[in-house]
Amino acid sequence: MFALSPSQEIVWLHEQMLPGSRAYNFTAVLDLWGALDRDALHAGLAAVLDHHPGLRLELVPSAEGLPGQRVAEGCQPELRHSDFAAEADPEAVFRQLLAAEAEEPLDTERAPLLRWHLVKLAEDHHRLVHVEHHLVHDGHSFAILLRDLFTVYRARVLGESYELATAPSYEDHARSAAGVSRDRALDFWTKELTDAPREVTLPGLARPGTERRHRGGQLRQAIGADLAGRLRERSKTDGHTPFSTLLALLAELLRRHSGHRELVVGTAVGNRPEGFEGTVGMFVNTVPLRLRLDPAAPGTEAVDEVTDVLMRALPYQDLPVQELTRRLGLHTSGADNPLWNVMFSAHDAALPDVQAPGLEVSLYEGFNTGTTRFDLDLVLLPDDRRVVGEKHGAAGMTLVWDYDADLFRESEAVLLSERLLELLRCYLDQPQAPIAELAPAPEAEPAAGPTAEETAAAAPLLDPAAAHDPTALALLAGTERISYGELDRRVTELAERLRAAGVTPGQPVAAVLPRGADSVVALLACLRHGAVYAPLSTEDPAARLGLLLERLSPALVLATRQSALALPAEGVTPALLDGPAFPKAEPTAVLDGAAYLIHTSGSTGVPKPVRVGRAALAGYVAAIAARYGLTSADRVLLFARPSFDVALEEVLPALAAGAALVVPQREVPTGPELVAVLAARGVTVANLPTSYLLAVREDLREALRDGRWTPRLLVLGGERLPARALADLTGATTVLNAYGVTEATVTSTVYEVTAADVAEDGEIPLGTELDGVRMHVLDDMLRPLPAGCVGELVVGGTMVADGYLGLPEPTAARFVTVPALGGARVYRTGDRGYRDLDGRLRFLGRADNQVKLRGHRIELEEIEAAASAELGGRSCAVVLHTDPRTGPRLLGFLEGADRPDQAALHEALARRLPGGLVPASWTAVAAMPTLPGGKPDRAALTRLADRAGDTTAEEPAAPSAFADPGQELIAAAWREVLGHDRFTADSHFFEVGGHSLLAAQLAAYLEPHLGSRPPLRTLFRHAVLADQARALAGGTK
Amino acid sequence: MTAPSAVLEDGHRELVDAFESFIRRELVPLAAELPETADQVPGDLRRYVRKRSAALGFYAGDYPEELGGSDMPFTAVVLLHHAAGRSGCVLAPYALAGSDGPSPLLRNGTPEQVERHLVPLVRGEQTRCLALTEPHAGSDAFRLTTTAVLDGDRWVLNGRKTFVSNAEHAGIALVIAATDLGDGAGPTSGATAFVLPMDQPGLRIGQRYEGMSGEPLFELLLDGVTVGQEAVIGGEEGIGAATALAIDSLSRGRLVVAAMCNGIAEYALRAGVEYAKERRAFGRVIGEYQHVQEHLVTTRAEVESSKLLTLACARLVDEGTESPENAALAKLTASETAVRAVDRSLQVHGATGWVRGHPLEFLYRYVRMTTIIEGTSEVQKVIIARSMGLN
Repeated sequence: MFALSPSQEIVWLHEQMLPGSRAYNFTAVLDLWGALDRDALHAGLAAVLDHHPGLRLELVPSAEGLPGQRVAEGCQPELRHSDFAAEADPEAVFRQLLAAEAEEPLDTERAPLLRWHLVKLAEDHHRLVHVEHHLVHDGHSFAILLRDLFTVYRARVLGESYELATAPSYEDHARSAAGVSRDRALDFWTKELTDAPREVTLPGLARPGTERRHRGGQLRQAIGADLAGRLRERSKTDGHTPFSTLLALLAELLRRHSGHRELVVGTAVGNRPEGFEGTVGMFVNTVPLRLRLDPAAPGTEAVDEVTDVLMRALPYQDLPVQELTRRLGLHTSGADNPLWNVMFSAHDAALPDVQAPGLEVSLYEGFNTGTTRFDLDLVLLPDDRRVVGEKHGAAGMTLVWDYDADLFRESEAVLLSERLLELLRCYLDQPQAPIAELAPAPEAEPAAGPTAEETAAAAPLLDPAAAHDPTALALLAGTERISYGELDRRVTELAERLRAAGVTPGQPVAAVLPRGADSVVALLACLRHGAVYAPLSTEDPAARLGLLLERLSPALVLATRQSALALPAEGVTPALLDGPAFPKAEPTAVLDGAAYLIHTSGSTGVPKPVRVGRAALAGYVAAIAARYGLTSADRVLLFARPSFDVALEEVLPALAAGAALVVPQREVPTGPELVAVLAARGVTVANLPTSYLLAVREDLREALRDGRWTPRLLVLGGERLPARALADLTGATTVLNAYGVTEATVTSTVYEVTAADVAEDGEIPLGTELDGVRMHVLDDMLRPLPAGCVGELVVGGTMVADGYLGLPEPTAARFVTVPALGGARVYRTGDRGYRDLDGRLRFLGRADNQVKLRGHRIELEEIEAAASAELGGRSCAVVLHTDPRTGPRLLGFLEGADRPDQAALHEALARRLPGGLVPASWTAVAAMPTLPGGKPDRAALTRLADRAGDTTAEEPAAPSAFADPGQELIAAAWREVLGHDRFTADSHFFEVGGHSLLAAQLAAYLEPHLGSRPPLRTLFRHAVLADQARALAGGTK
Repeated sequence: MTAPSAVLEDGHRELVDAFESFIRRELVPLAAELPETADQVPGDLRRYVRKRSAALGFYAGDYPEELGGSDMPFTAVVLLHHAAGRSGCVLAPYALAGSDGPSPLLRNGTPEQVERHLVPLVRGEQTRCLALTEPHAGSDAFRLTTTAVLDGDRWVLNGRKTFVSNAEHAGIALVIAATDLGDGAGPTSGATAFVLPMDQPGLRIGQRYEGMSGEPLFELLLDGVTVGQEAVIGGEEGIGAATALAIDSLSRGRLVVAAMCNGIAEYALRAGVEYAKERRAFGRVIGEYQHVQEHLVTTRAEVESSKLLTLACARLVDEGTESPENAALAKLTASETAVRAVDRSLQVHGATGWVRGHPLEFLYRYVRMTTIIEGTSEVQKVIIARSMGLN
């Protein structure tokens, strides 16, 4: 008995984790036309089995966990026979048989690990189904097997003698491989893969949240002989191979679909040592290829780069991947390895030229076994003339796409394959073109912007107070009930006071007012007079308000006696709505065409005022009123503070439609308070921040269920919308997910959430654009991407803001014209996303460090700048951390050993920043983890935050700390296989030194204690000690 | 403090619990829409509370199911009013039928009047006002100068009513007028009750009176209001019969006011006790001082007594042995107790309770009305004295 080779270990481990997997069953069909000599065939099969001990290997279970292997003697070929010649549709019956054969597992403990099934389809037409376990197989070995099979067959038919070449045994290889030092290779790969991305995700095509069951689908894609010929020629000219060319194009395809330039793709390589060329056995290893694409580089350079990666890997390709994952401290939850999830390999072992007398032999291989090891597993067959014997005609190629059928539907696999082929065609047409420009996305329809007439018609929407029945209700706020007539009177009065104070159209007028009638009147009066409405938050610290006002330089600052208390004590003379005559307006710049200025958070520590034009606002009001179907019968909740742009979305379209606004009296109502006002005031349309909905959803649900509240529309937005939170809501009302940015006039896209979305519990789409808006998905070269591809979401169309007031550089960085969009002006949101195949936009996350928390768009650098200033320049960083117990929150980190005075820092920051921007807590770190450029490494800090949530995990527990005998047993097993006891009941096996082989030992150790050997899969799925104990005690399989 | 209540409420404990849960879960949150001590509640919120309460079976619960009620005994209604008062929630009283709700007068209406006017009132779909009091004749309610003169088959009403509550929200007015049968005898045929829609030509709201607190009162002017027989409550039999009907409705109304007063007194007492346990002066909580204890203990004794009296009277109503003097006794005791309880509790609170916006500041103004409405304390004493054979 001898040990498994490293390559065989991988195969064995895979099957332990996925019992019943047929991923390593190799199935092929030899199509045999002509007069078949059955005896000769049988003799051939017996001869190869007898000649190659590598084909007679069988596994021997071991008490230590990992099995050994031995060569069985006296093996006879297992050859089954079927005769379908009399069947009405022999091919159909054969397909059934083939599927059954491909899916029937082989017993790895009983040699031979291969079997054949000879099927007669007609007198002169047979097929030999070959099923072989990968433990004894690789492509080259299969070619040897075919060579020897047909050598013997030929000799038997012709009555000649034959001699089969001898070769060292696989046992020799396995034994010699065990003692090889791999330190150099380990060092190479460790360096090569430092900080490498672990997996390629294709969110635009893959079904989200799918449980991986390794269910395989397959697609065979033909590359015609002409195209294949061009590919061979091009590759040869440039010193490439068709494989490296296709790998580069696949990488570009994956870049477009993943949104990442850098990715790791695995590939299978032969690691057959010199001298073993004639040996049959498994001489295959898989290696990771870390590909870094420069999308601006010409295609040929991209292929050069990929070829270089392949060449660099060549000397180190023998390193078993499991040794590498062990060194990197990675572990897997069921895939073959955690380093990559996309494979691309070439099966280029040439088929033998041995001519079987009277037979034409064609080979079909790589059949779908129903199992897949990776998300995507591509195999290139560079010569589709798969015949044994003399080849004729031009050779095409075949790409076999095995895909995880739980992740991808067939249509998506087809889309990917077609896009790869299109990339290939374009590359061959223009090999020097930048690779990102190949196969461009079809040009998008421009936004359906309003005509000049429509714009003119929309203008009155900005002055709705006088446009409706004066007796109709316009606003309900507590005990206040304001009709349109009264609203118009107040607007007229305030507009007159503005004029009297000397405010001219185009001048900014700040409004420091709470949510309510005053803020609505101030907005409408500014719009009527032509002043530029600039709302500021009454909740902001006075110092921040002072800074904003200084930058804004408004003609007047509107406030009430109460809200004026928020203003700095000196330097600002407010115009009191409930006071005497306004002060004289300050001379200030005129912003022609502007409607309002609303601040968004800024990366320099100073928020940026976004300037939005009147035409954009008017178009927006019309678009929202239409999309939400607002009418005078509606009662619309006014929930947002005036300084949030959503307040404009609540006020203006509602009043334009003649609806009534309902203002809750509590700044942030509790769930019961919100429900009370919604129900009692008969609110039909409510627009709530997602985070607030999460807090009050149970109350809303109950009110909807018992019929107290019967809304027409519930609009949610501001943050990602978790589908599960919407359970029971979609059935009771129409729920919309609204997405937008301040820089493009509030909302840009809307999606009506369906019950199916909630049931799927996936990411809720952003939806489709409002009239006048055109969203694009651009790559980092600002090139538009087609549906399914991941990039930055940008907003174009008529509602894009004018820019940031007084900030030309940020304006130039964010508001850009895109040549690839015909010079269209767009706003770069910094959000990553994609348009799905149904045309709906979907959000993936922030591209930079601007995050959203409870409706705030927060640039983390702003908080860091404030904290650093407060702490005398101490290095600090802030991350948005989601703790399952507490939900998302901001956490701060400070460099240095001094523990921060939490209360003092919190208080100090609260004076500088809005409450939503003050981190929940601060942690001191000895050295701030940084990225190469010196910026904080937020990913590392987030991991630190994750760990901080479980401080006890750092401390080893006394043996008595385990809760019950089950945990004690598992702990004893861990001690045995890990060789230490630095773990607790909460420890993760793979984080305290465990790896897959140790897991196998763990299973072996536990067998006598549990009565049966626990499946490795269970140990992997329940890697935390306490969970493992529960799973095993409960009999979880 | 709760032992006697527990005994008396036992038969209706679940009902009272459900009502208190409704107040806590729905009305207290809705009260967040109002200033801390809203003197006046917007009409839409009153309407919502009334309809919601009716849907839950609390509003006008003592009316028969066929009229939209819940067939509750009157004792249960009294307990609900008590619970509303002691909740301290400004919206709770609107959840129960009071002087703007279904009127016992209409119980004696014709079938058509019951269907058209009473049922919507019981369901909380509309409210009414009672136009009885006239200038210079407050407590002497039936010294009427408003006349209803029969002219052929039409009645012509002229006059001026005052201190009418709910006139601005009501859908119908119940008007009591001296009856003149048009036979030359003048208005000598007793009083007749009419039901008039508020948009009836000739009927209009006059002066508005804002009080110390609570809802405003109104003047109601009748200027040649002409109606047919269908407006006479009770039809032919109702002509000249209003006095008896009105007195009957006043008795029940007085017990409802008494229950509300008991609730307010209990709320004020609870607030005082809690404050006395927390507020410290000279090193001790003020509840340890005997002068403070005096306020609270005296209040408790009065409140418990008043509750027992009111509930006993309510049970007599259910037993069919109600009498005007019982209602007068209960109302007199409860309203005077409530005024004193609030006064004492405010005294315990000191300046804290005096500040505008504090619940006791509001109650101090609010509760004062209770010794005046539904018959002043003096009128109650007259009724009681009369039952004692003293006049």
